[in-house]
Amino acid sequence: MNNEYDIAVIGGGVGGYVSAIRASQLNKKVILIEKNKIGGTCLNVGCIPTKAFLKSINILEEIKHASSYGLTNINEENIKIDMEKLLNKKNSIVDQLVSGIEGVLVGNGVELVQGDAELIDKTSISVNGNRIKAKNIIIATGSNPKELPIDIDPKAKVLDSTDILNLDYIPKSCVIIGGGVIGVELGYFLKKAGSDVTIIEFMNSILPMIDEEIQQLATEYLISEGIKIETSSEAMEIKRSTLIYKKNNAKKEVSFEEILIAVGRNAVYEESEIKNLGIKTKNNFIETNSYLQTNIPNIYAVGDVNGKSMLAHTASMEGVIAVEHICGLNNKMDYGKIPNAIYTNNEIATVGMTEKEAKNKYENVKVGRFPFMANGKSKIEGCENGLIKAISDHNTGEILGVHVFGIHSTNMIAEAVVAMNLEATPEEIVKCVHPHPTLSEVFQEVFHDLEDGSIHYL
Amino acid sequence: MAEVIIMPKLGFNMKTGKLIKWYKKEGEEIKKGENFFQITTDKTNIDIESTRGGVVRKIMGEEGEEYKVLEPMAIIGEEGEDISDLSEDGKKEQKIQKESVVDKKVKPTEKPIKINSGKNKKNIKISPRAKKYIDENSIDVNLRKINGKGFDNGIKESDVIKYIEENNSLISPVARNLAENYNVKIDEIEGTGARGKVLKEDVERVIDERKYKENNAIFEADSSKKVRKSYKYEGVRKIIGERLAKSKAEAPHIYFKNEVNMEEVIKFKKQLENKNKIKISITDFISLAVVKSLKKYPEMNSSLIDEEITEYDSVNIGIAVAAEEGLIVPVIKNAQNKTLGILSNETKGLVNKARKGKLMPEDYSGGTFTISNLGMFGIDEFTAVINPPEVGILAVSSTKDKAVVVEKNDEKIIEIKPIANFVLTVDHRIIDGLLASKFIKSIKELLENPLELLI
Repeated sequence: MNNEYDIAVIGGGVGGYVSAIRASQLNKKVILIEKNKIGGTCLNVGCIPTKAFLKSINILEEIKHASSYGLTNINEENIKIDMEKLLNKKNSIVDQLVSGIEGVLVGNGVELVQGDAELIDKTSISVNGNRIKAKNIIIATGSNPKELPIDIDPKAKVLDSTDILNLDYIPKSCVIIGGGVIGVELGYFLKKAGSDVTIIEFMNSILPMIDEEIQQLATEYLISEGIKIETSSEAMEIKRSTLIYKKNNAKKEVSFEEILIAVGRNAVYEESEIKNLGIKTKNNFIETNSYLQTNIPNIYAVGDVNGKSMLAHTASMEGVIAVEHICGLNNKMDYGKIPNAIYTNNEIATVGMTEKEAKNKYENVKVGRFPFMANGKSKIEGCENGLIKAISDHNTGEILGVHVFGIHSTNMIAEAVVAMNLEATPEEIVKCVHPHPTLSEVFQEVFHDLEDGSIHYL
Repeated sequence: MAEVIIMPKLGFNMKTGKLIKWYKKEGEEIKKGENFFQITTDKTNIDIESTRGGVVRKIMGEEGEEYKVLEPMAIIGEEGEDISDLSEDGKKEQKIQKESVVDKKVKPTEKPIKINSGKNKKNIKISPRAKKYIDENSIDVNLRKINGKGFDNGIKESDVIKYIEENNSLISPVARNLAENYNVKIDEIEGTGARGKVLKEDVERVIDERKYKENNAIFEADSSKKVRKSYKYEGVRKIIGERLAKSKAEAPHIYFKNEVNMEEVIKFKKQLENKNKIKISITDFISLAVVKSLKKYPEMNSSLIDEEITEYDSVNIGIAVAAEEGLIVPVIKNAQNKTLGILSNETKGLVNKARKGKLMPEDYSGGTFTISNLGMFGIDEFTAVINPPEVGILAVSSTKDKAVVVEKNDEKIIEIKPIANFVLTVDHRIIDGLLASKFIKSIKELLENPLELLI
């Protein structure tokens, strides 16, 4: 029968489309159901658009430094960001990527269906009134920005991350509730684009999941760029153009033109369907094991919907692992070695345990550090502010974590990810020749520091 | 010039020796006569001294391994001296001086086997054991790739095993370190990584299983016991233990106790010492009394080996001495011909040697009867286990003042006398109660009338 599949994937975001491609590669008959646009949050309203926005800021920064590299006749004062043009650029990047993915899916023989999927039973899905049978189902329905359960004046200009990526002007002032990755990246963009930015964070620091030392450097840097940061602050009420918040039991307020709510994301699924099938959830996310299986063995959940790490690159690996498990390959998901990338400039890139976590778990922890200012390429790039630190278990040489605050660090962290996954030790990494002059030399240096001390720093 | 140090042959029957430990590392300086390494034969641990001074250039013997006598163990030479010629084929072959004697200076005669491998005609040296290991396990390996750590960079069995372990198993560096830290054998770990690569997780699984087993074993045994330390039952301890267990299991032990009044022998000892200005111990008098009694009752001076009972003319007295590593029994040979002074001197020499761990095998073998004297430790009374194939052992306890009934002028009165308990253990298969009683009575009478000792 035509409508019987080995695998049905619900949701065409990164988790979903990667699952579908991998399933096709492993000769499974697969259908991918997407109700909106292929590429999901990441391509359409997440990773890709924000980075397109931030690229504009990075060019702006380059231009500001251009005169020191001998470029003349640049009128820095008059440079402005034309948001309409930037939106066009962003949209064209997104469109190209989305159609590229569609091409890859079709080329792999994935059947694409646009529509709202409804889970009927363990092996049946209804789409656009048609019933589909599938031996295995992968739920990859993603997430939506969380709303804030406080009083909000309906006249207040309240945005979420999706709205801001379609904003065609820069507000004079913006308050951001939530100092996580989304809040910090968008806050950095808005500030650099000319807005007066205040970040309100409930915890006692912004980017609370990052290594404390790197977090400190990042916070200092953002403050030096003029972003106001209020930590240990709880949003109480949003009035027309004022946020009332509580800090140290004192009521405070801050005014804004626009207010962005970036306090996390909720899993997207139809509760009644999940209940009917008896799929277990935890904190409103679908519960999965290390093979991404739900409690119903032929139903898997990958990406944001399981709430494990809520990053695009986690979702795509989960998709691969889920499909491979369906095909009898028992690779497990290792959430301990997933890199984090934060695209302020300097960028923040981390993988593995923070120093504090490592010291809690291991007896004999070593920490190596290397400053970017001792790296030649950083000087050339005009961006000497930065630090890389590496943490190892001295007993076995296992690399427990690598944390970087520095230019282009997001492009370089993969070296640490590979080393950690292959369980390499610092002594081996220092034996790998790194090209000169590159920023990547900081990796070799930090592992030198773990061993006997860096070469280019005392 | 540099010298090869070999596994010494300490006696006629010694075929192999187990290397216990090195006192020096490669590169360390060593003086002539300084302890270099320790070996164990079937009877005891022996420290081997260096026969020359210099620098330890190369160590070939591995701790815990058994080696044939005369196998090269190490090279001692000068710092920076070229030691390659020591092993050049035939050129410097050195003769064994005398095979029969205890001699630490004997030189190697067994040359490593040479085998040609493939096109390259250069010789590769490989020990017979390594060769055997490769043959028996049908290992297909290019010998040229194995890093020989043995004599003259020859390949040893352990080199082969190490090479196989390192090269036939895919393992991540972290996993390898972890496995080494926890003494997990790599070939026993099932790898779950790509192509069966052993990952950290796989090593942790083995460690967890081991811990689980250990915890449960302790739990089953007795959950209230907290282990302070545990170590192997091996070496001298094991040799002594097994021998005693065998003795107690095979020889029906019976015991005969006598109280011996030591008053006269103590007096006599003082007189002799004052007169001759030499120190003679009570043990020496006891030894002499035992020797004389054994001469009188030769059935007691015998052994039971393989269905044959042998009585000896030679009285070889073993004297049990507590040494650091356990009980050592130096033997005074042909004591039947020796005077008290000679007996005393010899005993002193042997006991000192035993306490320093320097007894040679012939110093503690060939006994016909044993005395175990714990008098100096204040013991009131104890029994001893026969040291096979001997048929008896005498346990001597402390001399203590006691109230005893004595006859004076046909009257029984109580007096304080220095009394020691003697307990004789005999193998009841051969010795009956009457003989044993006569024998211990003879010892008692000799000690209570010490002048008779000198007759």
